[in-house]
Amino acid sequence: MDKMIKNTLLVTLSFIILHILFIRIVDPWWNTSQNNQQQNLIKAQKYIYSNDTDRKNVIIGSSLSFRIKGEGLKGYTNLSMLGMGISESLQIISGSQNYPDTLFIEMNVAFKSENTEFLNRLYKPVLYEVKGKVPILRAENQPVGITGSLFKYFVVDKILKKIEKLYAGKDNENDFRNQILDKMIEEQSKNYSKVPDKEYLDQHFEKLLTYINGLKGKGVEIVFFEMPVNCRLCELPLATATREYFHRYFPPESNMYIPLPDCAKYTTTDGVHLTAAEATLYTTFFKARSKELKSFN
Amino acid sequence: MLFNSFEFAGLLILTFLLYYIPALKKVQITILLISSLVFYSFDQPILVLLLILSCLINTITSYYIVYSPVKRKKLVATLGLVANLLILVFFKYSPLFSRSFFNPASSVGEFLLTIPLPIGISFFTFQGISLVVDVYTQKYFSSPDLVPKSFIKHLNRVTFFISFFPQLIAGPIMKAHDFMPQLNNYKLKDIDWWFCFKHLILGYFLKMVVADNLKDYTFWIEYPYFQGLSTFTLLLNLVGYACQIFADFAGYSLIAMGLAGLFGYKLMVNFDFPFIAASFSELWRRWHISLSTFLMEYLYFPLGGNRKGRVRTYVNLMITMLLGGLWHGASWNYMVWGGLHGVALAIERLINDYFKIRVTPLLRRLKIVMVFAWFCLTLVFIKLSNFNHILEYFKAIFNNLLLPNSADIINYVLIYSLPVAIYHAFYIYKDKIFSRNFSRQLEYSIYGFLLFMLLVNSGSTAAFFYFQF
Repeated sequence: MDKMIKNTLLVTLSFIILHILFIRIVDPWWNTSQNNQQQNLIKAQKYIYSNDTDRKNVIIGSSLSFRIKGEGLKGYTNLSMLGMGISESLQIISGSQNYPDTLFIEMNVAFKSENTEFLNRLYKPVLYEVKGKVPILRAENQPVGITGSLFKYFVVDKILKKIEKLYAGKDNENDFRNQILDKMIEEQSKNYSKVPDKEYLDQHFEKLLTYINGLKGKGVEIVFFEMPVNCRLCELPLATATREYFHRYFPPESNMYIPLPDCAKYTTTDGVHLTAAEATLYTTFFKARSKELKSFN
Repeated sequence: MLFNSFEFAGLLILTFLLYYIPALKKVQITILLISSLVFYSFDQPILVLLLILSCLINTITSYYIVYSPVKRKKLVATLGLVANLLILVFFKYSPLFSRSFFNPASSVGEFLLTIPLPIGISFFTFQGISLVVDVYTQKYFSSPDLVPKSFIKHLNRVTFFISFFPQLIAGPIMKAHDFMPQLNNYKLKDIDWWFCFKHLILGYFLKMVVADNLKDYTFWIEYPYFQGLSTFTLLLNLVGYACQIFADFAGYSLIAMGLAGLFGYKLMVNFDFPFIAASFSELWRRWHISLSTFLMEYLYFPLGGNRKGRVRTYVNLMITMLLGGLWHGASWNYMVWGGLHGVALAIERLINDYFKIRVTPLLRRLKIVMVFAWFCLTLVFIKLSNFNHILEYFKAIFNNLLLPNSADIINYVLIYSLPVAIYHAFYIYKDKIFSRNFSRQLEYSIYGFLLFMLLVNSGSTAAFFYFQF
């Protein structure tokens, strides 16, 4: 073999060994995800490949319920996916041999179709099995994620904070931000005014019903919940159609629901995503309501 | 079939093994031809017929140019050219005609919208045109030397030239006079293994580590996502997009060169460190070289080039760039993009014609920044097809100064653009770096690291950017 090629392969092997040692010894505890899709992938891979059997309570949903977290929610696993609906997480849970005691399902973006690209990437033949055995190939262990997140925390965030201090408190700053927020809510209103066609909805919910009944058959308790959004969106056609379809396919008489709190009491960053402070408030509400439910221990 | 798929790896290994069996030496070209047709038909089986039709048209045309009576040669060449252009226009631009000139709901409009876009059509059609013109003009070779008397043999060779899988889908656009003389039988010992290996490593690294990761951030350039981003984030994202397209396309071209080298063939260099260009004309001598040289040779020069006076030169430049822009996609925004670069080239030429400016090192650096900035800003016309959205993007750049910056986007766009910057820096300082004693160690260390990153830090798979053209 060409000597240069041989030496190149030796260098590659050295880097691989160093990386394996780094992961084993340091075991990065900080968030190494680089973007939303990767965060989803890391979450999914951790769920699939982890030997953690203590998964009593699992939450699935979108970027809305992604914000349910923090100290107030110990003992819960949040498998909500940014930019996606619930179909993907349902498949992940159904496909694993490790079922939760209780599964909390977000209703807000139930209409979203499956992200086949994400699922194909997660379950890619050969690589799926290899990643189970070779942790350095998983998304959370990517070198750029490990070092880049530190660079972001120690350098980029600090520089940006200094820059933002320069124009913080400017008279028109809040007005401008409110204008942007209004524009975003306006855009969301357009989305919330459109309901997918009946044929699509029926097919989609039949599929959800199959997954959920399958999980119920494995002894999983199902609880549905709806995340609060801006009050201008709360009663628009998409939101009301969502509730109607859930109640039709999963009647409240025989299924558990965490009631929707008063949307007017919550502030969002863009019409649909809760602010950090509101997310903490909702987390407390969520935990309290879930405890009240009959068979929840 | 993607270059980074298991199916392609299987096809490549099988082709390679068959190609170098001594007993099959005489049918090497046929082996590559069959492999190329399998490669092309993998995703769109029916459209391989169009590829075969294109090969047939160009074979017949080039054959009859050489072997028909003298007075018919021009007619045959013209017919061949027109046939190639008709195929390209019909399959690529029908939806554009439907949207622009017909009511899409009418029967004609609806029909035009259903015409499929065969992958690689822009590339293989241009190669066919190159063959027809080169055989007719005999500018580079005596045609009877390159066009065998046996029609079947010629068909075999032309089909191979047009469909050779490393460059079939996204170039480099090989000219007949560069590629056809290479047609020969090759032995295993002819392979320059190190050349192939490093081109493949670098190509896959640029594509899978740089481009495939950057796309997760430049996605935010889409409407309506960009509306909530700060000015700085919007501008930096355009820089990231420039690096993404470069990494994707240059990566593909490097992979193509490495793959072709495994079979003994040399493809032309398609990107020559374009981001160090200190002028717009230099940019187009370094970016997508195969296309820009094609347009120069087969469009700009026949139009008159710069031989018909100053005004005509600017007009010829504009026509070439407008059509070059439109080649990229069946949408008017691509033409506008080409037009913007045409305007930049024309203004630059005007300044050079009328003013003698001394280019100091500082001025050269400023010009590099200016050319790069212009390149990045015009990319909005590539990314967004709707002119209202394009306008909104530029408005957001001016209006969103007070919005908070997106640390995630900024951080990772900078990190993943860094290899592109380092790649260009290596070119600038290569004499200093590679003149030292440890240059060989440095070289294999770098490629070793790139291979490591390829294995552990690839982004989510996406089709090569230029597949859509």
